Amino acid sequence: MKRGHRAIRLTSEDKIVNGLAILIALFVLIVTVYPIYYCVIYAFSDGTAAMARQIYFFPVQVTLSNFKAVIEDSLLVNSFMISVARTVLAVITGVSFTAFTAYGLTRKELAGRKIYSMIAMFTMYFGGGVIPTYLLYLKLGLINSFAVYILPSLLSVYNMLLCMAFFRDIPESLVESAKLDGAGEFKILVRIIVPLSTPILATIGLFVGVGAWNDWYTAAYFVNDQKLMPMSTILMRLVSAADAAQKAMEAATTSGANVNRSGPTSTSIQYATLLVSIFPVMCVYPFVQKYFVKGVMVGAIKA
Amino acid sequence: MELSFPKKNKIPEKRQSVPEQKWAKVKRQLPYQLMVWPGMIFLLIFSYIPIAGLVIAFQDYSLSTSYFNNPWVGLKHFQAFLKDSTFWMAFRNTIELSLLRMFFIFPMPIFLALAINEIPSLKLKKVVQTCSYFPHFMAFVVVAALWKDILSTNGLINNLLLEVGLIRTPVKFWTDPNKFKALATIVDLWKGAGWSAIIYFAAITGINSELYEAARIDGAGRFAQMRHITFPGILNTIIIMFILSIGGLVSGNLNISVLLGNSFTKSQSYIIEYYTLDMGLGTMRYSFATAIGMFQSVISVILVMLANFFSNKYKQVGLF
Amino acid sequence: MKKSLKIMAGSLAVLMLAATGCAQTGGESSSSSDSSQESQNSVVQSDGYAYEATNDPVTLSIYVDDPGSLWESWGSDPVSQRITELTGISFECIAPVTDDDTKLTLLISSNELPDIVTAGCSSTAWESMVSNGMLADLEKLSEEYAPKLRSELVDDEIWEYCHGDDGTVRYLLGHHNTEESLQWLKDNDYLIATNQPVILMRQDYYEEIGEPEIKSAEEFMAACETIKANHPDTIPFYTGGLTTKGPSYLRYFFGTGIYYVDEDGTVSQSYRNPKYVDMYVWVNEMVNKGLMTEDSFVDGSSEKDSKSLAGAVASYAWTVGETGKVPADNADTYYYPMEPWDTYEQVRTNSGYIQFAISEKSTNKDAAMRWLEFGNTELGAQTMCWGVEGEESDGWSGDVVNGPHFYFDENGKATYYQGFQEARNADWSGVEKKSGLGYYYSYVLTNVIYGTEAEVIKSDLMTQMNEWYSDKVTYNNGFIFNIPAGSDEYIAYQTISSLIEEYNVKWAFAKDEAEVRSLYEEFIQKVEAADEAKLNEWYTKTYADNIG
Repeated sequence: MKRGHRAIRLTSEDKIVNGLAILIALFVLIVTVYPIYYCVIYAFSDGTAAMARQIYFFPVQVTLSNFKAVIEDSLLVNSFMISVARTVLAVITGVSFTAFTAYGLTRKELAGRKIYSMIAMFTMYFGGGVIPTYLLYLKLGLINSFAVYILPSLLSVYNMLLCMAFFRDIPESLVESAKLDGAGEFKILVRIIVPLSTPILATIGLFVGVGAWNDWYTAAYFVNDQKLMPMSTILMRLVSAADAAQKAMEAATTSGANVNRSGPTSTSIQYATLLVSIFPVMCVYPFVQKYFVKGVMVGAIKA
Repeated sequence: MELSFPKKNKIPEKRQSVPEQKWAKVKRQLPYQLMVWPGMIFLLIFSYIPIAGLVIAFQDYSLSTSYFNNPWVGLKHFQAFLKDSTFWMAFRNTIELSLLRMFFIFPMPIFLALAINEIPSLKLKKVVQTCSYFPHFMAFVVVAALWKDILSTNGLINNLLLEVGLIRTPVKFWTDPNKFKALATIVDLWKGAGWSAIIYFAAITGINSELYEAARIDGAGRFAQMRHITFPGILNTIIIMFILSIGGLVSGNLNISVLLGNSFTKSQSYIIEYYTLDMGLGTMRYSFATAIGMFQSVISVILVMLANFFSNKYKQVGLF
Repeated sequence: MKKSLKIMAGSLAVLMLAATGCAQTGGESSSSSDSSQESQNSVVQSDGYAYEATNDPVTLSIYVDDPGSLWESWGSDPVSQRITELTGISFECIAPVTDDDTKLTLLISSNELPDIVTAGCSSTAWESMVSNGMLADLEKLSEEYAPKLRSELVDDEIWEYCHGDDGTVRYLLGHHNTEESLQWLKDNDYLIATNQPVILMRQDYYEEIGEPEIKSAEEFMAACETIKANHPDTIPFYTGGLTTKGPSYLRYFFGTGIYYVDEDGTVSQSYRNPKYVDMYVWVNEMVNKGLMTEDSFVDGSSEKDSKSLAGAVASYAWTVGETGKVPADNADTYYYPMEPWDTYEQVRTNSGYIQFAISEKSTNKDAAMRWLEFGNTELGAQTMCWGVEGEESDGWSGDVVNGPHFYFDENGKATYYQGFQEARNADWSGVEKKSGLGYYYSYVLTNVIYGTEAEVIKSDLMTQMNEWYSDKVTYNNGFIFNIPAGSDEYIAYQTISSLIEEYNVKWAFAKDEAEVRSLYEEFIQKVEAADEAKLNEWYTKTYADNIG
């Protein structure tokens, strides 16, 4: 914990805690950084050479050809733009809509608060499945449109519950005194609640953003247009193409059809695509992170 | 919190007539109703309309007919899977894996958040936080490939153990059914712990720093501060997360089952979702698959309601 | 092994030699033509095909069950560009992202099928589409928009085969052999193609043990034992990528097939065949002697690739197409298929590969027919399979994308340049992606000869394989079974499949033969409890119908 300005002499307890924390930190670093590194060495290795042996520490026959293959894919640049656009929009709309609803639900004055909450919570455990959803989206004109990435994810009940838990911890007195000053509800939300809630808003922003970035499912079932495919879907397709090819080959063999199926994409190219697709998220993270590092905001406003 | 603002609205009010009082109440809550309604309308459209499709659990649904024109068969599909011994094997595995998740995976992000919070160097703290999320971004296929590779009979771990002389023949990690649940739990933990810790980081950030100042002046050490300030400060979040996770007791992670399991470990890795895929969706038995899903949902909701009730009663914290 | 074969080491590509010319085409083909692009129109005499009458630009939507295929980037390869140029047709592809039928199911349940639907012939979706009247009557459409499709381009045998219960034809089928094409394949030594299941053996290990003749499971086991003694670290026999869910290709070596007809004429799956349990007794012995390992029952196809490339396996079951793979630990050797055992037997069904149909809802039926028609002409086959025509047998320029790719030999048979064939064998998916050749035709062409013609090149490997294996292959269309999805029979089938998956490893890893046999008895009891009788009744009835 960064305790700010005053330099304090470390007690032995401090030393133990610091030591333990650093040890844990190093352990976490090793076990979490390694898999990324593992992808990196595969992505920089020649596809065939990498398959012929198990590699753990250094790439074999270093090459950039895997990345070249990924970037040459004509759909990739387009899908990258789609991914960025849908993620940014989903975060802005999703967070504001969710926070807005959550704030309303935490107010004790609201009649039917419990019922509303139950209506919301019920949807976390019951879902209609993909066919009814498809039929609904078809009626709403969402199939094959960019809006299908935004509209259905406006409100996440899970995130809303997290928001509500945080809002409840904000002292009611702050709202009351603002009311005394004549502030309206919306003004209170924007001027008082939002600044006090940056950690949770950043958190659900991150959840929504990463969810949108990684979501391959929506495009896979509700979008046909290649130009609307996000990167995650393209990556998923790459991975499943190998299975599909194998199954098709076995089917052809039993029926005796002389069909030659192209081999699966090499693991190296798959890993290169994975790296290309997660790189942007990793770059954005440090900017979000500042909201999680102990700030003085809460105290300052209260004081 | 420790600040002593008046809890109740203490604006002096004149005695009002009953209708006037009612009107005031309505007027007072109207803005909040306006805030909530768009969300509720959203849920009605995007969640409840598709939920109506669940009626097919009680029908024999075939493709491309309208939802209400299918023959009604009552509880036929429910009986079909409840009588199937394979289903109960899947059910047992699902519950066992969920219990492992609750006892080993659930506390880990809390521990991680508390530990990382104590790191003295701000820079290291930032780096560790960032890196701890990495596994979350990896596609499960890659995660599975990595772990299967490392723990294979001629993989990194076995070679290491052989080298050191701890074992003489390679350990069979993935083909031993007795090891499956433990390994699956480890992989799951590794993939999700850092990411799940985010919510606790956020909660810790929300704790008033004056509390720590006060505690230090009182002579509290780091452990004492952790126990009396940090932990209670995030307790509400922990409870909320726990209630939410209880709902997951009867559902499992299909990825783990499909990608890490194999025919050797099937008796331990086969879960309800796999059963649904095998016996329902894979064979276009949508009614059957829907019936199983509904069974899981009903149990989940009951569990969450119970958990919420008890936590409201004893801790005054709950989802609603 | 003959000395002459060894010289061909390296890759399958090296084994491909130019055709010496004992082939002839089924249809009319031109005797001479220029290598330039323009000349291609003259290859086929223009006699009133619909695609010649008009090539107004039109975009058709098509469902293709192949994630990440060329269809999804229509217009990016020369073949698709050429099709658009010749017919005016472009495609907009709808494809699943993962390997399942959900996407097609959604299109069916919302009655939103695209203009053209294609899917594997065994997909359960066909039944729903036909029974819901979602597919157009192709004979009627042909009459209206492209008469030649019915009258001359698609063989009567295929129309006959695709007839539904009500007598109409709602889809056509690719890779279905007619009597003529079957004979043609035999005559050209191509009945056995690159996807024939074989056991491939590391030639250096094989030489070490003195290249014994291996004609039975016992002899093979003995050879594996010797190899194991020489190379304790190797896996002598490996079936990874195949046997995780059941016997897969292994069954052919033991002649158990996929189905079994007992003395009473009852049809069942092959586990009822007495040879079936013998096969597992053998597998079990292999396992207990350390000649097969758990890897065979766990690995997917990428692990298979990795183990064979690493040279970690002495022999493995896969297809002829893997011939010539070089293990990483010895650059001077390669994997080569072994002679079949005496017990080897493969019963093919000739059920074809991909079916294609036009949806009843389509507003572009004329263009869709134009496409079907074009795809079945020789010009279509040339565009999609053979590529750009060149002169003589030595016209290969080294350009896989723009060609020329093939020439007509002295008999008028389209033949790939050896160089192109080599490039393709070296990097099948790469050449396919870049050139677009040899892919699209599977989704429209019914004529097997057109589809295969150019790649049938006399090579020692294929001659050898056909000599070895073609007598082991028989056809029996009685075994074409498409169990209705969701029916009781399908549930029984699914339950039995899971039981096979479960017992597959139990048998292989049992203590001894006695345990294999008692586990087999246990398996049979469970299978019987799973309503096997009903399933077998259905098999038997359908078998009779198919034959009758």
